Amino acid sequence: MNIAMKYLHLFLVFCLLPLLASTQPAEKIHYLKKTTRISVNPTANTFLQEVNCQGICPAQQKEWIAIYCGELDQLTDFEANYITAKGKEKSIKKKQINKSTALTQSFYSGIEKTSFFFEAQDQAFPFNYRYQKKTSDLMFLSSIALYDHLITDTFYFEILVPTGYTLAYRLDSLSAQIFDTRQVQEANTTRYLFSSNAQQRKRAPQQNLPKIRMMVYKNDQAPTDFFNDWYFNLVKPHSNLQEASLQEILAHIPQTAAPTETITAIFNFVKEKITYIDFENGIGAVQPRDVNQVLQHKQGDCKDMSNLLCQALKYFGFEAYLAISATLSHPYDFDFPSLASANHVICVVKLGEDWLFLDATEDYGIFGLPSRQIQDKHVFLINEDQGRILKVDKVAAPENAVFHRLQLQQEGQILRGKGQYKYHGLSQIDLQFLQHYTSVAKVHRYLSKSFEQEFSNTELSSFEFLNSDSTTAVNYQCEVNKMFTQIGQRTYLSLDFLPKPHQLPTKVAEDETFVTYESQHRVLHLTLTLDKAVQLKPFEKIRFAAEGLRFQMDIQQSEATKIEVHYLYENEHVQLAPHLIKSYNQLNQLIQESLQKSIIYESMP
Amino acid sequence: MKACLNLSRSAFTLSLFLLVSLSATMLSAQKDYKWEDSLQPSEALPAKYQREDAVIIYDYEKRQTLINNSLFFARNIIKKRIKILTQRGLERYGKIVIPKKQDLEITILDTRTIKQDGSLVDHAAEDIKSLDLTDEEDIYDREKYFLFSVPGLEVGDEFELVCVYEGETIQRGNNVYLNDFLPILKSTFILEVDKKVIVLTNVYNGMSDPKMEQGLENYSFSWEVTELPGLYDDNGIIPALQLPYFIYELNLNRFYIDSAPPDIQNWRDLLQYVDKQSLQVVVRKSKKFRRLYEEILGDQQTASPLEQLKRIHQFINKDVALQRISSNEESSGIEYFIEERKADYHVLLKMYKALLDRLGLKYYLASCKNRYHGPVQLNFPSSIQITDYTFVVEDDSGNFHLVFPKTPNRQYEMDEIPPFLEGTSLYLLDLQDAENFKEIKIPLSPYQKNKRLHKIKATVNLATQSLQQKCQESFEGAASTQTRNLYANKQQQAQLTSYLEAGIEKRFPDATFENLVLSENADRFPFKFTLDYDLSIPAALTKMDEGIYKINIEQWFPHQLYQTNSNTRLLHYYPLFTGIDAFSYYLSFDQAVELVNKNNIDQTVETPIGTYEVSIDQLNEKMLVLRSKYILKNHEILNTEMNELQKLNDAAKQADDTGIIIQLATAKKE
Repeated sequence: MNIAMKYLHLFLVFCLLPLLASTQPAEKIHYLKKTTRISVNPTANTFLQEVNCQGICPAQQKEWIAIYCGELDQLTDFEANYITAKGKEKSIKKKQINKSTALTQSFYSGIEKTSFFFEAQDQAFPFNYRYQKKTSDLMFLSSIALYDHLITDTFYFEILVPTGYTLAYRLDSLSAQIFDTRQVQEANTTRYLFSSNAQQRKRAPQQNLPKIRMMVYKNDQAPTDFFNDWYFNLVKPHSNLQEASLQEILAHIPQTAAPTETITAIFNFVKEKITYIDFENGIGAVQPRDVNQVLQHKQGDCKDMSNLLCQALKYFGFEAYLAISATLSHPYDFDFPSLASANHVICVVKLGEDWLFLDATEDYGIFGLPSRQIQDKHVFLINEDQGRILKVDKVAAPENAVFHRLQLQQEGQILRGKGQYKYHGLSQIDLQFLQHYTSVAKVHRYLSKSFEQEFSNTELSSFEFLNSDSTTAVNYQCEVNKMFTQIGQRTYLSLDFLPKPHQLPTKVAEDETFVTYESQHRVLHLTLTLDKAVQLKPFEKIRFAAEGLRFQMDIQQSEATKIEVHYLYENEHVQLAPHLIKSYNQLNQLIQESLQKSIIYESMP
Repeated sequence: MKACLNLSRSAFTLSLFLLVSLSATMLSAQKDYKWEDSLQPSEALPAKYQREDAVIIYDYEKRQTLINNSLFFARNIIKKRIKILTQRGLERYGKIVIPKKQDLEITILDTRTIKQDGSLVDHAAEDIKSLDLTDEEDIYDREKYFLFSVPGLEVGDEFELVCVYEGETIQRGNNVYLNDFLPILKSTFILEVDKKVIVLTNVYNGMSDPKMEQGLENYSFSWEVTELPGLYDDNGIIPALQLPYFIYELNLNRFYIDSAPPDIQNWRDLLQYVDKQSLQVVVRKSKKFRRLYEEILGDQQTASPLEQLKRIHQFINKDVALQRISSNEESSGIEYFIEERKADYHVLLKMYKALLDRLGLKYYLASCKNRYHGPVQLNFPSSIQITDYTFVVEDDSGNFHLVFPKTPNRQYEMDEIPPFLEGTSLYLLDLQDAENFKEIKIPLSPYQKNKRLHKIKATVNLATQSLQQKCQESFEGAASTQTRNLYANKQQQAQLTSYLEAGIEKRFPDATFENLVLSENADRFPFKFTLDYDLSIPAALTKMDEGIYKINIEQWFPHQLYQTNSNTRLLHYYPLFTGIDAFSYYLSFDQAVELVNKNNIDQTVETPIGTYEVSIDQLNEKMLVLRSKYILKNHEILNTEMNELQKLNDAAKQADDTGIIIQLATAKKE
C-alpha cells in the first residue's frame, strides 16, 4: 500500500470533519468504524485477529487508547496515525507506547495493557489504529463483544473458518436485536459476518456489553463433545494424585466412614486446607494446576480446588466429575458450549440417585446444599466419554428460613426482654463465617453493631451462639427506649424499632438484574407484655403476594396485657430479572410503611 | 475462572510496614532467599495475646549504608515472623504490602511457613506473585506498593518474611518507631554505616540509647525492645507524643569535594542551605518575565501590595498545573514555567520566590512540620523533620500573611491555614537578611470557628404525605478548608451535582435533588462556602391514626462524626480540627398542628470532650423546629476518654430513630 492510499481514509474523514462536528458532540472520543477480521487456523490451534479502528478525537482532550493481551496473545503490527491541525498525518512512535500490567479482579491474571494517547489538539481530529493479535488456543475464540458500543457507529466482524470446521454461535435476546449475521460459503472457507450499527443498537437497551458466544469445532463431532474432549484433555495431565498427596488426604479421612461421611470429610479437607487465590493467566485461566502442586502449596482457585476434590473422591471410588458452570452474577448460563458461557468450576458427585454439587470456594457452605452462587444454573460435567449438562436447583425459601422470636416486657417507658434468631439452610452461612472470623469478644462486638443497625432505639447485649447440625441460632437480650407516645386516651407504640426482614437494597433500578444469592423466608414473632390491661385497636392486616414475593403482617391481642406482632417475608428468587423489580420495590415500600405503623391501644378501666 | 461470590474471602489488606517510601520502581527478578536457620515453632503465646488476630513474633530491620568503590550503597534487610491466630488475622495480615522505593529495588522477597503440625514450607520466590489490586484494595497504588499473599497460609500458622532492598543511593535519615499495627514480641533495628560517615542520632520518649559496635570498616547502632503493643487501625494519632522513637541522620560533610560542606548548626542554617541548594531562581529572559508578571497582576497593577500578593497566589492556585517536569525542561528559566503554567513542587516554590521578589514585600521562607509528625525537635536541625515549605509575607504593619503552596489535591487561599499546621511552629528565614530568623506559633483553632451548618426549610404536605426541602449547607474555618477542596476537585458543576446527588440518594432513595447553586465561596476568613439545593421527598409521613401523623426523620442528621476505634485504642486521638456540626429543620404545615412526642425526641449528651443535642420545639401553631448539634471541643482526646466520644457518636447516630408525631389541631378538638 503506498502512502497516499494508506492515509486516504484519514483525509476523507478530515474533509468530512466539519459536518461530523456539527452532528456529533465533541466531549467523547467517537469511533466511526471498528473492524475485526479473525482467521482461524485449527492445524496450529491458533486464531489471528486483525483489528482496525477509525474515529474522531474530540477537541482539547487527550485520549488514551488501550489494548489488552493475555499470556496466550501476541500483539504485532501495531500502527496508529492521526491528522494534525495543519492537516499533516503523523504516526504514534514506538517510544510513545506504554506497556503495563492491567488491573483485573483476579489475584493474578498476567494481562498486559499496551497503551498510548493522542495528544489534545485545538480542534477535533481523525485517527486510525490497527494491530494484529495472535492467540494460541482456538477455544479462546469464545465471544465477540462490542467494546465501546456507546461511542462507536459501526462494528464489523469477519471470521474465516476453514472447511472441516464450523463456528457455532449463540445470540442472546439483546445481541439478536442488534447484530446482523451472515454466512458465506467459499471454496475452502466459510466466512461468518457479524455487524452492528448505531441505528440497530438504539432499538435495544445497552446497559450490558453486547456479546455473541461462540466456539469453533470439528465437523465430525457434536459441539458439546468437542468442548468436553478439549477440557478433559486439558485437565487430565494435572489430575494424577501422587502417593504423598494421597497419604496427606488419607490422614484426614476417617477409615470406617460411611459414604456421606467420607465425601463430607474430603470436601471439608479441601475447603479448609486450600486457601482461595485465583490465578487466571494464559491457559491457567481455565486449566486447573496440578493437584499435587495445589495440595503442596495449599492454595488455588475454583478449578484447582474442584479438581483436587474430584480426584480425591474418585480415589475413594465415588462417581465424581469436574463441572464447568456459571455463577449467578455471570450474564450467561451454561446452555451452550463456549468458554464465554462459564466463569466457575465445581465438583459434582453422584451418591445413589442423588447429585451433590460441591463448591469448595464457599468457606462455610452447607454440605448437601449447592453453594449460593451456582443455584438455578446449569453445570457441564466433564467426562472421558462425553459431557453432560445438569440443572442445579435453587434451595427453596422455606429451607433457608430464619425464625426470629422476641419477647418484651414493658417497664414504664422501656421495653426489656430477650430474642432469638434461628437460621436454617443457606441463611446460616454468614453467621457461621462470623463465628470463626475472630476472637469471641470481637465477634460479639461485630454482631452487636450489625444487629443494632437493624433495630432502632434498641440496645442489644449478651449474645450467645447455639449451633446444631442443621441450624445456627443467636440469643440476645435487648432494651427498647422512647417508643411510647400518649395522645388522649390512646397509647401509640411505634413499630419502627422492629428489625427489617432483610438487609438487601430496598430499591433497585427497574432495568437491572438483581442477584440475591439466597431465597429468603423470614418470620418475626413478637410477644409484648404490657404493665397493665389494655384494649388493642384492631390492626388492619397487611398482605402482599406477587411473583414469588410475599409479605404479611398482623397484630393481635392474646391476653389483656399481651399483644402479639407477627410478620412473614418471603422472596423465592435467587436472581430478580428486570420484570420482577417493580414488584420487589413495591414490596419494600410496603414493608417500610408497615414498620412505620404503631400498635395503638387504650387502657382498660 | 473464579468464584464471583466469595464473601468470606473479601479481604481488606493492611500494611504490615510503616509506610515510608513514595516513588515507584519495578520489582526486579527476586532471588530465593537462603534462610539462616531452621524455623522452629514459637512457644505458646502469653495469655494476653489470645484475643489478638495475629501477633508479630519478631520484627527485624537492618539498614546499611556502605561505601563501595567510592559509591554509596544502601541495603535494607527486613525480616518478620508473624503468627496468624484467627480468620480475620489471615485476611488482614496474610497479605503483605511492601512499599516500593525510589532509589532502591527489591532484590530478595521470600517467605516460609511453619504449619501448626510443625512442618515447614519454604516457598519458592517465584510463587510470590504480584497481587493485582481490586476495587476493594485500591487504597494501595500498585505503582507504589508491591502486594502479595503468603502461599497456603492458614489460621494457626506462622510465617516468616524476608525483604531486601538494595541500591546505589544514600538513605539520609529517618524517624524510626519500633511499633507496628500488630503487637510485637521482639523488635530490633540495626543501623550499619561505613566508618567514613558520621551518624547523628537522638532518642525520644524513653527510647533506650543504642548499643554501638565497631567492625573493621563499619560501625553499627542497634535498638531492641520487647513486648510492644499493637497500633491496629488507630487514626488521628501523633506517635511522636507517646511512642518511644529515635531520629538518625547521616552527616556527609567530608564527601563534599566541589563545594564547601554545609555547616548546619541550627534551623536557620538549615533553611539557608535548602534555599541555596534547591530554590535558586533562574530568570533567563527578564523582559519576558516582567511581561508575564504584569499579565498576572492584570487590573491589579495599582492595587495594594497585599491585593497583588493575593492575585499572585490565586494565579498559581488556579492556573499553574502541578506535574512532573521533564529533564530537558529542568534548566529553563522561571519565566518558561510561568508561561507554560506548569511546575513540580520545587519549581512551584521557585515561582513564588521569583514573583515575591518582584512584588517587593518582605517575605520569609518557612519550614513546616505536619502536626501528626510530632513537634519539631529543636536540638536536631534536619530536613527529615520538615514536611512542607511555605512562604510568609510581612506587610507594612508587621502582620504576617501565609501563602501555602498548592498540592495535587489541595489549594489554600491567602491566610488560610492548613488544619494539619494548627498547633505547630513555623520557622521563618528572611532570604534577604539571614539574621532575621523567627518562629511563629500557629494556635489550634477553637471549635467555635469551624462550622458546618445546615438550614433546611421543610414544607410538609399532609395530603400527599411528602416534604419539600430548601436546603442550605454552609462551611466555615477548617470545615470549609476541608470541604471546599473536596468540592473544588469536582471540576464542573455537573460533577459536583452528581457527587452530591449520590450522597442524597443513599440517604433518601426516592428523593429528587435539584437547583444546586454554589452561592458563596469567600476568599477571606472564615472562608465561608455555601451550597443551596432543593429536595423533594415523597412518602415521608405515615398516618398513624385519624388526625395523627408521624414524620420519619431517618437519615436527617448525617453528622460528620469523629470516628475512631474505641475498644483497642492505644494512643490518644487528635482530630484534624474541632468544630460544630449542626442541622436545623424548620418544618411548616398548611394547617395548625400540635407536637405530641417532644419528650421522646429531646436529648442532650454532655461529656468533657463535647456535646450532642437534639431537640424539637413548636414555634407557632404551623411551625416546628428540629435541631441536631454535634460539637467536639477538645483537640486531644485521651485513649481513656474514647468512651466519651463513643457516647456522642452513638447519640448522634440514634437521634433519627424516633419520628416526629404531630396531631392536627382539628382532630384534637374532636
